[in-house]
Amino acid sequence: MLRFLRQNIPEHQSDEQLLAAYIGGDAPRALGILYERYMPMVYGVCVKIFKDSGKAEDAVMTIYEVLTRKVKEHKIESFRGWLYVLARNHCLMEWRKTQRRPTDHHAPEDMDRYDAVEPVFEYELPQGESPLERCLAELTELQRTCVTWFYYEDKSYKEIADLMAEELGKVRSHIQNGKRNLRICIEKNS
Amino acid sequence: MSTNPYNDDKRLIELLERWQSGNFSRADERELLSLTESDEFRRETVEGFWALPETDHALHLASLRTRLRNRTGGARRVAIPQMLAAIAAVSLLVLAVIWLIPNAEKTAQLAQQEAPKPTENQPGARTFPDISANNEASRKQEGAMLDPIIKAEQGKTAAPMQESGPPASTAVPEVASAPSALKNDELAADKMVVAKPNDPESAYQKIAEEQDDVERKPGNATRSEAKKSAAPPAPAKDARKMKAASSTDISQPLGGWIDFQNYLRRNARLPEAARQNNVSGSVRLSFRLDDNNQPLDFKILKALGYGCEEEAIRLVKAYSWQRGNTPEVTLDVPFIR
Repeated sequence: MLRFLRQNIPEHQSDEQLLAAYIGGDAPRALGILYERYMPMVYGVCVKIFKDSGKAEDAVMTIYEVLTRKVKEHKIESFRGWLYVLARNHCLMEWRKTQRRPTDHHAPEDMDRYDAVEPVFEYELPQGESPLERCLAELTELQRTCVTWFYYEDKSYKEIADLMAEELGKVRSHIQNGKRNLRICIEKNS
Repeated sequence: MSTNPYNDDKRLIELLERWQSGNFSRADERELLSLTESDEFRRETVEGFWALPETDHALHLASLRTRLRNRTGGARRVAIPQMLAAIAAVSLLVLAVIWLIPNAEKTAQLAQQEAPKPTENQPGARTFPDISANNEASRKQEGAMLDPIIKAEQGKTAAPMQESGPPASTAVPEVASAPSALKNDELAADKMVVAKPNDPESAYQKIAEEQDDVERKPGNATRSEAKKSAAPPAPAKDARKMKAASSTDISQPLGGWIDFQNYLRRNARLPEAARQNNVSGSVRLSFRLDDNNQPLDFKILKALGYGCEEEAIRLVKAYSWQRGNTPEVTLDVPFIR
């Protein structure tokens, strides 16, 4: 282990170097170091599919186990891309298993269509009656306040939370829901 | 692959951490979105985090890091006991030297008693290829017959010492660390057994050390002595002891107690209700590990209230465990203000 540490500082190695070191067998911990790099991202993808942080956490660990088996079987060109596909497929497969009736089946992509990351608020402050303004008025009080402060007054989440004496998680939630409702509303009106 | 995507990924993760911490402005969101534009992996990551805005993702990620390190930390787990064994061996050596100096008379006596031993011990090493040249072939043949005698002698010398030996000078080890202390002693004794045949001159010293050991820790030493006299020839003996040392006798956290305590230090946070009611301290609980190393049957032995028990159970459940011969585990989860 000492030799390994002295020869290479793992944090500075490229994905492929770490992977080669793991497959070569002289650095069994290299795969863990490599995986940790992308773990928050794998976790994010899992949360997106499961909509449950606990399940996502377990899936991230399972994916690591799958990884230990598969890296030796496959020739991997780009670890990052390969990991993304592996993680995504694994979660989708697990997620489908939990859907009991196939008739109820919705692909997760459909379910969270409205959570898709798209910049909506690249508008200027609307002049007069615009769909955006109408829709803003339809939001709940809390959502409207959060959204306006964040997008039009450039306040950070923390500042909004302090101003409203709300929990940070709630502020994140209001902004997220406000954004989604706005998008739905605008799509309906246009 | 160029290093660029990796740096962008890092930045993305940083921005998501800021989103979690609340230190997140419109400019940050703009940057986050621009990072997701060209990359599916990043886009889905952000969508995942944003799908559950009220969840403390940072906590999950911290727990994941711990779990991953426990899973991959195999090398560390082996290294620590070996290091401890080495320290134990060195300290025993030092103690032996200290013991020898003020008891010069006694050692002279001992030397007389033990004088034949070092040479007799040599045949015991017949399975080792590097026997020193002064061992005649005839002695090798005698080895098999002499071996039991030596062992019997060792047993004899050990026995009276136990009776007259002073009580253990070291503090009584804690429940959790007791097994590892035992293992270290076994390992240390093991090393001596291995070292003896290779170095005829130090053989006497080693025996003195062993007796030193017997006097200090009667219980443990008896075990290793007993093992020695009962065990088959050297290599097999070694293998057996190594196995005994590496298997877990009691249930414990995967990665050991030290890692687990570090994990608790990092993750055990007082629930808000407890904080508001000025409650702090530790929760003592016991549980059992099933065949899949999953903790269950939680019992609260000391409660704090205000959600601390649930939090303690959650922390224990989030950790990976290794079941030993006794599946029950009792531990304290400290909540520091």
